[in-house]
Amino acid sequence: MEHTAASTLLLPDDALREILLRVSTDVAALFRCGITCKRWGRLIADRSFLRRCWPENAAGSSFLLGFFQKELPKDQPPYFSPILPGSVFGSHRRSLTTFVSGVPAGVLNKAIPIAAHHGLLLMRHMATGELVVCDTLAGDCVVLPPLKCGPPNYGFTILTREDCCPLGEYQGPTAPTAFFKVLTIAGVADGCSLYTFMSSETGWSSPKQCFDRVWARGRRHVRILLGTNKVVVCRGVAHWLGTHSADQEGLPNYFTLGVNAQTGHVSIADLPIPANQLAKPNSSGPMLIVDGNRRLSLLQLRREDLRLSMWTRVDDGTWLRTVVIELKPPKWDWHHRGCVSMWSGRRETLCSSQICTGAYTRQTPKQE
Amino acid sequence: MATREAGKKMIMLKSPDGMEFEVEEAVAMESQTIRKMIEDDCADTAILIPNINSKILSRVIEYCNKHVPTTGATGAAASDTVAPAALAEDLKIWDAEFIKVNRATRFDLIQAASYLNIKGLLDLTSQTTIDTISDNSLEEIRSFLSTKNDYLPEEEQTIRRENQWAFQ
Repeated sequence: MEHTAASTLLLPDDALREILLRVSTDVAALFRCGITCKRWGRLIADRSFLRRCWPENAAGSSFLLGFFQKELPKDQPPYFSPILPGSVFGSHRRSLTTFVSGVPAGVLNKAIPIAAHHGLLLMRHMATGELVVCDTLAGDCVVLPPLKCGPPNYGFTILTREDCCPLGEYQGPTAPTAFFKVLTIAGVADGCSLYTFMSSETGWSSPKQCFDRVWARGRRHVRILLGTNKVVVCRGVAHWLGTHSADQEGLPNYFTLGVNAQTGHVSIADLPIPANQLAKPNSSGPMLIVDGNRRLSLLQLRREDLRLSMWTRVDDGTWLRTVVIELKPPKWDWHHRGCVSMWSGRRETLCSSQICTGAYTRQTPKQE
Repeated sequence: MATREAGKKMIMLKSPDGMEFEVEEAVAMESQTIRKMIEDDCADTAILIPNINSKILSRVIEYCNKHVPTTGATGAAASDTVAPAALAEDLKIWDAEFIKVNRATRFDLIQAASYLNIKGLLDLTSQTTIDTISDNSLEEIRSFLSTKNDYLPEEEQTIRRENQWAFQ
């Protein structure tokens, strides 16, 4: 006979935590537990509990859920390859079309993922340049108006409500596709211009000059590096990586160009890392990432000795070398085509997930 | 120090309702909490186990008795002839039978296992509970675990809308 008073209300927090800990192999179930009642939500959202569920440095503790990949010669939508079993996106390879509905027929067949952030994935049609924003969590999509600005490039990034509005200020609809911005930088003859698309408007903004004339004076061959791994969103600012050099043969000097998500204010900062420590600005050269503490970081993989180095911008604006790892040589030759990662860490989201998108033809072994 | 007899040390466990249980030290030490007390020499006389009534405590002891590693003098006769795999299978069947209790008792066992820090028992009792959570909807989880929903309807709607991945 079931006891009428049998209720988890009577269980102390410690015992309840033990039950919930065992649910954590199924992230979606743990999330549902989190909203059964506020007490459970509080227990689950607790930092030390989350750390117990996913200990740092333990196998499978990564928030990296998988990759969106596109097999270039094929007329097929990109597919998602999970790297962890039991993630929120399931444990099997699945097509992007299983995530979203309402995409015009065929558009995704020739589209490649070019940016991703907070669960939103930006796709670009290889032939027409058509842009589609897919919400991988809620399953909708938005087709953007065409952007007419010279040759195609991949300096795109996507910003969400969390980046653009301080907490609590936003009053409108809360679906991720209800508010987002897409930013891109296009190079033209007299410099680089920033184009912005806001979900609340019907077209792209008029171009905005990226470089201040005073700053650009005396700097030559100034350019913004284009590639999905040269742009990242960190603490409400989109950062692009750029170079300038005194002469054509000289070593490139790196700088970052930041665009404030809320105000659109542009700022430029030279990277105080000696130029001789940094590789040439190609696709596997220095790339921008966000580290586990949400700090802007520069990552580079030297092909010659497979040495992975990372510099991180600390709170007072200085840059420190934080990671040096010697990678094991891969079993096969691999071509790195760039990669963008994204956080899905909304305030109510108890279990944040990071998704990488990119056009990896092959993955590097072991190390991320 | 606890009393030392020929090879076997006995420990007295006391429940708050006044019942006393004499168990072998090895059995009591299945509980990490009690192990720590014994190792720290805090187990002079009887150990009072707060919050766990005699009915539950006797079940916990029953579990520990079954799961204590059969090495040396204790219970050697049976285990010598049985293969380890068969033994594990036997334990599994025993566990499945052991956990056939009503919900209230199971929650009490979870609480006891959590307090006494008995990993095997905690795994068994919690797993049985979550097997019912994993594939169930929110309403089913709520009713099964008798939690009280204290989210406002609007709050819940917002969370659900923004996190549809968790409700597919």
